[in-house]
Amino acid sequence: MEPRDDNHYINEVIAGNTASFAMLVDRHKDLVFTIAMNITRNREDAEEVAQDAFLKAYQKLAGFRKESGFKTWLYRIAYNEAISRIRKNKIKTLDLEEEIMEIMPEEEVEEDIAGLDGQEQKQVIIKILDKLPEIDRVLVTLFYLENQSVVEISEVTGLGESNVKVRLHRVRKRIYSELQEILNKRALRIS
Amino acid sequence: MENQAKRDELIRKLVRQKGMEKTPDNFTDKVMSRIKADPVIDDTPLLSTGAWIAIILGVAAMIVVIFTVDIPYIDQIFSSTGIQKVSMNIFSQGFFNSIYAFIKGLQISSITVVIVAAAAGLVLLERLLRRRFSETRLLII
Repeated sequence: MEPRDDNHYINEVIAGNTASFAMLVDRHKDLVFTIAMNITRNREDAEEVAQDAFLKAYQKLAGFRKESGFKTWLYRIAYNEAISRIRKNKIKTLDLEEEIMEIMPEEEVEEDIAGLDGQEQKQVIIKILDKLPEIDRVLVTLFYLENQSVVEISEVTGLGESNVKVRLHRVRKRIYSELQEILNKRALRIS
Repeated sequence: MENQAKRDELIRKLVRQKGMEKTPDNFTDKVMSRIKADPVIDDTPLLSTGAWIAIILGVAAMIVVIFTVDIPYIDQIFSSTGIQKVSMNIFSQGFFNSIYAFIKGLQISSITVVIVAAAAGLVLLERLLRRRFSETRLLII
């Protein structure tokens, strides 16, 4: 059977076909779980948050306005659930550190990164993302992985558009600096 | 600008290399069983706050019109019941003075105050219980 768009399944759920919601869960569960993981940094908490987000989305589905986009609406629910969870658990969040100096040109970094195999590249980015504050991790996921626009990210997170732009700019610099540092250390180890 | 684009490209490549987190096994089944166990609760109030404000303002405006504007039909009712109408002349004394005079002229019985307070209390209690109930329900799950 050919997959339909989200609105088709939303209409079916509203019409009383609860099972159609499973299609929406299957389609969006990984990103909802990723957002929850970005914020809670814990698989158990993230699973609960993701389940709660889907349950809430189901209960509020009748009030969902289609023009806002189901994905954005769902991610906003997940984001808010995760933020409430860390506030409730009083989980300490990381502050954005000051930028580290930049020395290496883009081409050089790119070359060094290309010299790493897929698994090493994955380890490098995991290490860098772990150091970022929760909200910035969500911004990275939505902007670089999900290709969401600044406007959509603003809708999901509730941050102003200019705030999203500033944070993205800072996080871009931060990731790049961390990359340089890791690559420099690796070069020193090899030599 | 060019540097930014290059950095974006590089970061995007790395982030995609990492990919999304994978949900635990049976995630969809768990969500669906929670949905089946929990009937849909539409906790949206029947009337939104805006609608309530509009109704209150409408009723207040109606009362002001009935008690102040000369409408022959309503005048007949007032004369038959013996209720005194508020004179419109007070509005010629300036806006704030007239509002003050109007409020000063109002006589509210203690029963009215009790009814209004009770109604407000019921609305607040209903909201409080609804919130508490929905929180408890989520915790039980």
